[in-house]
Amino acid sequence: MKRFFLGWTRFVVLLLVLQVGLAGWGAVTEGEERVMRFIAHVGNGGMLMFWLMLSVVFALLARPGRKAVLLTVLSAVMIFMQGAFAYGFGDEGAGGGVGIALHALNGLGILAVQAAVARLAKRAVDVTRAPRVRAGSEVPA
Amino acid sequence: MNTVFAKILRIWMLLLTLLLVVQFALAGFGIGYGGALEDGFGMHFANGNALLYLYAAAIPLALASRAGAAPVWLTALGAFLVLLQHGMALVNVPGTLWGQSLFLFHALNGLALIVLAHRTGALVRDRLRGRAAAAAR
Repeated sequence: MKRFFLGWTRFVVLLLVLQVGLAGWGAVTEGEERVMRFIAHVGNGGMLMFWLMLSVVFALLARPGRKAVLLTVLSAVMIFMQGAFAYGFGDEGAGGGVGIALHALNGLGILAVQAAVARLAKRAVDVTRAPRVRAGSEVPA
Repeated sequence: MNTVFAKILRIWMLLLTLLLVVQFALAGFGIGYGGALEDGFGMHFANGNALLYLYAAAIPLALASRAGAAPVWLTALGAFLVLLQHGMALVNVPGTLWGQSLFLFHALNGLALIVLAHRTGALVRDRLRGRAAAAAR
């Protein structure tokens, strides 16, 4: 389960990096409504909300350490704030600008937190594997 | 190693990392302000120009710090990537598949620049610490 959590978290990190790219894609797409210009970003973002909720469940099952679990919960909370930043500040003007600026910074934050979780998950996998390797190498002469 | 210039380079890389993160927020501001690439992106462009010169200035700092070849090559790579960001912005055509694919890479390249600036700063920091530890011994 710890190995699965590591792989899953790395998958989520990959999708978060892709999400930054899709934001760039939407920035130069033309159309009327912002939601439709950023549809790839919105779609992937909606799925990421669900994936990070699953991450919380997986973290509780995999038990990769208290810090990793709490950081996973934090990133799930932060990704829900993304919706508030994107839709809660209006569509234009300085208000809308500040909203998406916070959305961008919060998104970078989610990526950083998930990268930290992946590092912690890797450490948890290594810790469980190390004693077994040492026990196996004790071959009687 | 020239410790004074190495310390300046360390702080310089922290500044560049900060400006690169701010650049992400300013890009978001431009999107939220009007959407089209002209209106709200003034600060993103100004900060982008500043980043080009400030990142280029990191190369002579890395040379003067004499902390090895890696910081020199990494700052040169960073300055080249910032130049690439400007190039991508110049040849972009909004509303086309070409422009969209290009700006997908523009955003990812910006993300890579944050990681690169952070790692370069961490490398200089570690070399400074290693030197301090060796002097204490």
